[in-house]
Amino acid sequence: MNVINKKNQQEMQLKTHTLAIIQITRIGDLIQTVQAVTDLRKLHSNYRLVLIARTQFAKPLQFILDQYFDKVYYLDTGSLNFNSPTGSIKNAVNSLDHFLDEIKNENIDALINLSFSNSSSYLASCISAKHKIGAYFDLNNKQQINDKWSQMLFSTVMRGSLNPYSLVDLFKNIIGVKPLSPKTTLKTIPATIPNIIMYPFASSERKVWKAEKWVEIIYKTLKDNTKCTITLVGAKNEILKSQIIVENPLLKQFSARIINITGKTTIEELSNHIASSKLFVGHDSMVGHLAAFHCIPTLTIALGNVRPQETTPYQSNAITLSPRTKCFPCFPSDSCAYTQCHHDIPYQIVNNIIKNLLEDGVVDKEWIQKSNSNFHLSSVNIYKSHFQNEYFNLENLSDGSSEIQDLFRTFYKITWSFVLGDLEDNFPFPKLTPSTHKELLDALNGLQHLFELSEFGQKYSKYILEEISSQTPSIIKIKEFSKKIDEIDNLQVMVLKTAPLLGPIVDYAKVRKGNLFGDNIVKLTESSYYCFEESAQITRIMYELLQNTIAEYKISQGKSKSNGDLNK
Amino acid sequence: MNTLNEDLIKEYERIKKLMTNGESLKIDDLKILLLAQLAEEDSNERHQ
Repeated sequence: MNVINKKNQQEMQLKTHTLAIIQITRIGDLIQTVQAVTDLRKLHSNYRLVLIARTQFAKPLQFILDQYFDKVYYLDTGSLNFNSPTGSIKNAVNSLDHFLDEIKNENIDALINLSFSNSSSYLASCISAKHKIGAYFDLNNKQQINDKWSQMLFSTVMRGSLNPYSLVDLFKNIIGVKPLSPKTTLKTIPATIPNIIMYPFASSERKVWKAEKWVEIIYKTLKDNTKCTITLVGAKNEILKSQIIVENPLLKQFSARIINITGKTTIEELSNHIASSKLFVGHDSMVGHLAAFHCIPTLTIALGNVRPQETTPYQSNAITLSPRTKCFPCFPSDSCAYTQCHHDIPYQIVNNIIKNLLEDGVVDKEWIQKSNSNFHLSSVNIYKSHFQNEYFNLENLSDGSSEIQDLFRTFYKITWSFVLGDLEDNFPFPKLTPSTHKELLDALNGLQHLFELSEFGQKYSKYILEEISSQTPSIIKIKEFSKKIDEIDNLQVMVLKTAPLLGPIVDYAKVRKGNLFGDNIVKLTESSYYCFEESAQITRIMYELLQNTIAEYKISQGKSKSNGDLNK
Repeated sequence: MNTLNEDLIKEYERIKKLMTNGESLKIDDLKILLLAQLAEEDSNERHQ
């Protein structure tokens, strides 16, 4: 024990700073966290890197975590016996104190919360560190988020589907590592019998196809690709579901080529299976992230509340299919009786892509148009990933015109990268349809209102500062100006009624205003002024992007007009 | 005999009262809130 401690101490002395990351969510998030810290390890090998994670999710991944973190602290909530009369508050607090004391010895320089749940925020507030990044609660039980990337994540990821970034890139930005694109070449497994790892399950019903659909996919895959095998993988609670698939009479003739290891492997064994496979096919899951970790090609079927931009496996050439259903992606809390999105991805497209990938073919726009029927393509988006400016990017290969959500994600990506990341990102002008053109015009009006409101916000913040610095400051006047600022905040929210696609701008401003810096009225007002200034900058950039896109559309339509007429 | 979960709910109510009265919390209160939150997540995961 002493020897180990001595070794640990020596190691700690060699490291200049200690960074601790809180990631207490699921296995998939842990793998994405590992992908985010890979660059940190490369660039700052002198940092001591510590992970705080929940035992139930992190222990099965220990074989990976130990390669990237100097130390992992396992929070074992199972041992707290929440539902047992034998558990007492005193024992639970003692157990928690013991856990926190161990972490305290790390003398953490920066504590980074990447989980964004209430429990992780409370945990962050209980751990002492010189600096805290990400969400934590203060002693007034108010959630604090002081860094801009976490504020952006909180305001866009948590509230809608307009976040343009992969979670891995957001984690990298929050940690403060300049994104480096990972290994770009996918592994080509030279196997005589190519194996497909298939995960036809997900954490909730709305994210997963019914068994019959997967039976069709498996049947067609094995029929069309006579040499390949399929390995069905999953957790213990998915054994029954896997049996429903493999025991379907349609698949009886292929039973020798279907290997069902659902519930039979540890994550480490599963990881080894994946590493020697040709392809991953399945729903959004940690299995897909594990495949990306091993650079194995992936084909993901995104349904329900899955957001492809955020959780597509983090590697180049990852393919994701998502439905064009109007309500996709939904929220887990939305009620849904018909799961229309489940019917909008035809299995024929899935099978065509599998065949192409098994033959080491390229999935690009040309192949998609040539090899798939327009009827099948009409209800599905086919995304392919690549790295642009070191950021993960999903390109929609389906057809010429983009959907409005895709358009806005691109605009937001350019804007956030410029404002928060000081990075100039370039994308080709998207093709508009008459309907997306109209929506952009509506958004232009909304942006104009938001810009004016931000200007007013700066003006009234300035008035307050001037009043305070005058010889006889008037409390009444300061209160009046503050009231005006409150009105501006409310009016910004009102703009969303007519321009809901501007939600991320307003939500980000709200989170920023909720986390002003300073402990006196001068500092707080200065901070408020900078918030409005930043808000004006964001709206100005977005306005310019929309304006130029509309101008390009008009030129392409042969209706070029002067800039002044653009929003008419 | 109460389960830990039930005791945590009681403690949570006590802390909520403190907050309603505008009193600031102690680090031990935040620990209780953390445990209450973990208990809730634990129960949600069990139901999934």
